[in-house]
Parts: sequence; C-alpha cells; structure tokens
Amino acid sequence: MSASREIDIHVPVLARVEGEGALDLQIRDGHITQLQLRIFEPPRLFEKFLEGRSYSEVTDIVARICGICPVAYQMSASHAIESIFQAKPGPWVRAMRRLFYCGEWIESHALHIHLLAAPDFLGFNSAIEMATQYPDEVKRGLRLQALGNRILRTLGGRSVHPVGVRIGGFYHAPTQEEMHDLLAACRAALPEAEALVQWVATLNLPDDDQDFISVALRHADEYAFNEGHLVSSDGLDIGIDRYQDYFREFHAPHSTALHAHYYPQGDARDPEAEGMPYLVGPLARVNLNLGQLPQAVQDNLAATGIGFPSRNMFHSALARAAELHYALLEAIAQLENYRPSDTPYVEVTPRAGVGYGCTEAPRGILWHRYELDAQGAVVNAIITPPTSQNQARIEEDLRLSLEKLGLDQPDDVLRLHGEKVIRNYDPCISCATHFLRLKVSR
Amino acid sequence: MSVEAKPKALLAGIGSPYGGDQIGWHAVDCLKQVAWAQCHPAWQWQITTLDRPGSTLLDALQGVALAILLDALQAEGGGPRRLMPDELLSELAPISGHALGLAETLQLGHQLDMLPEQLLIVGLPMGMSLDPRALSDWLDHQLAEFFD
Repeated sequence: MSASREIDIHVPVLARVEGEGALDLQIRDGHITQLQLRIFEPPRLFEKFLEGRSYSEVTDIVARICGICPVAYQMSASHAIESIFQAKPGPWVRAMRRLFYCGEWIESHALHIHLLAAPDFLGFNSAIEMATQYPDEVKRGLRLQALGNRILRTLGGRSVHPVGVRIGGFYHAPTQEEMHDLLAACRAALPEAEALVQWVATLNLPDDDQDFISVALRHADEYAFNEGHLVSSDGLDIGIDRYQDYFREFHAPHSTALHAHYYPQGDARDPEAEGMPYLVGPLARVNLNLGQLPQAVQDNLAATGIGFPSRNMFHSALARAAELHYALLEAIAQLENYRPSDTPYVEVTPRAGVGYGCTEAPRGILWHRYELDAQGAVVNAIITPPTSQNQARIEEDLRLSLEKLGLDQPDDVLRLHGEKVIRNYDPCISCATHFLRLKVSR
Repeated sequence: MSVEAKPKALLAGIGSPYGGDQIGWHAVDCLKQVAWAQCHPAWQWQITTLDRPGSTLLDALQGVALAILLDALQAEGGGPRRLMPDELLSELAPISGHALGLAETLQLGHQLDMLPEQLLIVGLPMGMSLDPRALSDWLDHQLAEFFD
C-alpha cells in the first residue's frame, strides 16, 4: 500500500459505544500525523441549566445527564451540596448510598461486558449475532443487568433517571420484605458473577501493554465508590477539593466535549503548564485499589492467572468483571444489615458556600463543584464526567495501538481495531447518538 | 378457572413520564380506567409500565403466554397501529446501552428464545389524544383479530 495514497473511509455506524463521534486519522510515511477523536457530550449544557436552581432540584436535574450512570451524578452532587450545608446524613443513608451505587455498577458493567464488549473479543458484529452461539452468556448479562436495575428501582423509584434521592438522603426507605427479596436475588446471582470473572479471562483479549497514569478515588476502609481522596499511580494523594490544582479541562478544537489533562506538579491552573493524558475507570481503580477488594474477589481474580496492576488496557474488561463481583458482594453485605428507617434523610439548612463531590461512576471519577448562595440556589456548577477525562487517553491509546497493529493494514482492519480500542473504555460519549465517521488520509 | 390455572398475560406500556414518549404509559392508565383487563378474564393479567425496554422487558416477558406491548411511535397523526414484528425488525439500530430499543430487544429475545408465544405490539403516534373507551374498543378488536 502506498504511503502517499489518500483514502477516505466512512464508517456509518459505530455500534456498542454511547455517543456520536468521528475519528480523523492521517497517515504520512507510515506514521500517524494526525489522530482526532471528535465527540459530543452534553453535560456542559447542564452546568448552565443548574444556575439559579434550588439545591433541592439539583439531584433530579443531574440524574437526567445519563441513563446509565445517573446515580453517580446524584451522589457527587449530594455530597458536594451536603458539604456546603455541613449536613451529616448518618450511617443508614451512607449504607443505602453504597447499595444504590452497587446497583449502578452491576447494571452498567453487566451491559458493557456482555452486550457491548464481548462481541469484539468473540468475533461478532453485535450481541444479537453473539446470542446465536453464546445464548447462555448473553442471558447471564441480561439477568445481571436486570438485577442492577432492580436495586436502582428499589431505592430510586425507577432505574432510568431515578427520583428517590434528595439532599440529605432518600425520600423513602424500602420495606424489610422488599429488601429481603432483593437479598435473595443477589445471593442467587453470586455464582454467576464469580463465573463471569473466569469467563472474561478466557476471552481473546489483545496483548497491548502501554504506559499510562491511573487515577481513582481511595478510601481507607473500603473499595471506594462514593467517598475518598484522589490517588494516582505516580504517587498523587490529594483531597477532592484540590482536583483543579492537578487536573484541567480544556477545549480541543476538534471536539465539542472537553478533554482533561493531569498536571503532576500541581500547576494545572497555570495556562503555560503542560499536562498529560490519564486513565480513570475500572482498570485504574483495580490497579490502584486491588488490596481493598474483598479477599473473595482478589482470589477469584488471581485464579484467572492475569496479574494486576496491569498495563494492558484490554484488561479493563476483566477489571470490570471483578468490580461486578465486588458490587454484588457489597450489595449482599448492605442488604444483610438492612433495617427500615423512619428517617431516611436528614433535614438540611441552606447556606452559602462552595462544595465538592467526587464519586466513582462505572466509567471513572465524576467530579462536581458547586457554589451556592445563602438560599441554596446554584450560583455556578462544574461537572467533569469520566469520559471527558479519558478522552485524551483514548486518543493516545488509539495512536499506540494502531501503530503496533501496523499502519499498512487494510483500512477496515484499522477501523475495526480502532473501534475496539474505543469501546474498551466503555465511553459514554453522549446519551443519545451512535455514529463514528472514520476518515483515513494516507 | 382458578387464577393459578389461567395463562399469564402481560400488558406493558413502554416509555417514560415525559414528552411524547409518555404515551405508552398513558395508554396503560387509560386501559386501567376502563378496567380493560377484567373484560378478558381468560388471562391472568399483569399490567405494568417499563422505563427501559432492554433487559427489563425481557425479564418481564418470562413465563408469559401473551404480551401486549404499547410503545410510542414516531408518526405524523393517525391512531394506534398494530405493528408486525418483521416491520419492527427492519428498523433495527445498533445496540448501545442507551439505545437497546424495542426492536433490538425483541430481536435479542427472539435469538434467545425468550419471547412469549403470542406477542401483540401496538404503536401509538406521539402526541395523539387517547380516549380510554375508544382505545379499549380498538384493543378488543385487535385481540379478537389476533386470535382469529
């Protein structure tokens, strides 16, 4: 294939990725000279929608940002606003928030592993095709996803854009009977979650080690979901209120979604400083917090023979499966201790101030900052979703992966591998669209 | 016939409580108003609204002999329409977490042998006004024709 040959490839549909994007790839003299993943993501508009709104409306508004990870948006917002009000929701609310988060991780991870990622590793174009030869595995994915959704409905009223959350806790406490039934369903699903980890390890995951910085929340007492401090694989350890000293969102001209870089020297506010891509999400979390997973999950993961921390981005699939196993165990633990409460929330007193919230959405850290006035109305809001943070890393990964694959490969091979790389991040590019147009210029 | 001996049937509105998408849920409310299910006592009815077709719908279809699914239809005007499965499957979109729509879910259910023997799909144009009695009569007619 001539290096000077110019070819345009239009991929009309990139399935199994959340969102709309275009990948422009320019190859000159056997090297990638330009690689731009252009995507479109809506949370920026939500920040403006929030201005002037009462604190009491925020959790319902931010839940609308995403149909897959609304809990993360609600939890980051709740923590930020409660920190301003100096509210202490107490152990019952904390436990139920962890359970709520388990539901989201279970449904999102089950969906991605079985319906979005597995077809790539088994050689199918879609989960529908895959179902012809792997019906039991697809059914397992659907069952686990349904279980996660059931947890969300139990606490949130519904699984999409739940409405059960309020600042200070939840609007209602489920009955003992509801939770008893839910506990039985979670226990019944546990063998499937354990088996899932082993099954994912048998998939044909490409071997592609890369250097990258992992960033995640860490909590002293638990595998962090909804509270903790920010740590990185190069030694960062800061409170979430210092996020903007080390991480900066920026506008990449080729994308309407913001990108983000990490500034290890803490000079992210200096416009002249140079940052670098970083990774958030399941692989970053398992890499950084492996020791805080329950022993049963660590043993299950060790039995696969794949070691963590891992530098192979495709081990994200295995990290996701281990986290699903963990989320189910954690849900069972919370349900076993459940007692209904007459006070599923604490009353809050609005006050002016600035607050921060950072929780682990299925795809990685979701950082919020709110400034409220004395009545509790939003003066301004900043929401930094995980996919924005991963976007620069995805571009870096694409460049490395495609070069390793060989740029002399046919265009459709490059395209397919590029899609596989992108899908591996489970990007929530936007909440509504699905198109990738790939243009390769040689 | 005892309740236990009756075959199970599902009447499900699919959508959300907002905008044009709410019509599936609204239709279920209308049918509840006129006690439509009681007029079909041969079945043990479960009446529900679903917020996400995907796994939730397939879960709801398990153990059901007859399912009537009411979903919003992007159409200019007109009334309720019975949709044929083939017609629906021609509109298949690529699967994503946010877009495991009715057509994709039914195709997946078909592959996995998870669909009920009898499946009646009703499309309701977004924004159409629903009269409970008229909807009930129309559905009676469709059901009779379905089993004819």
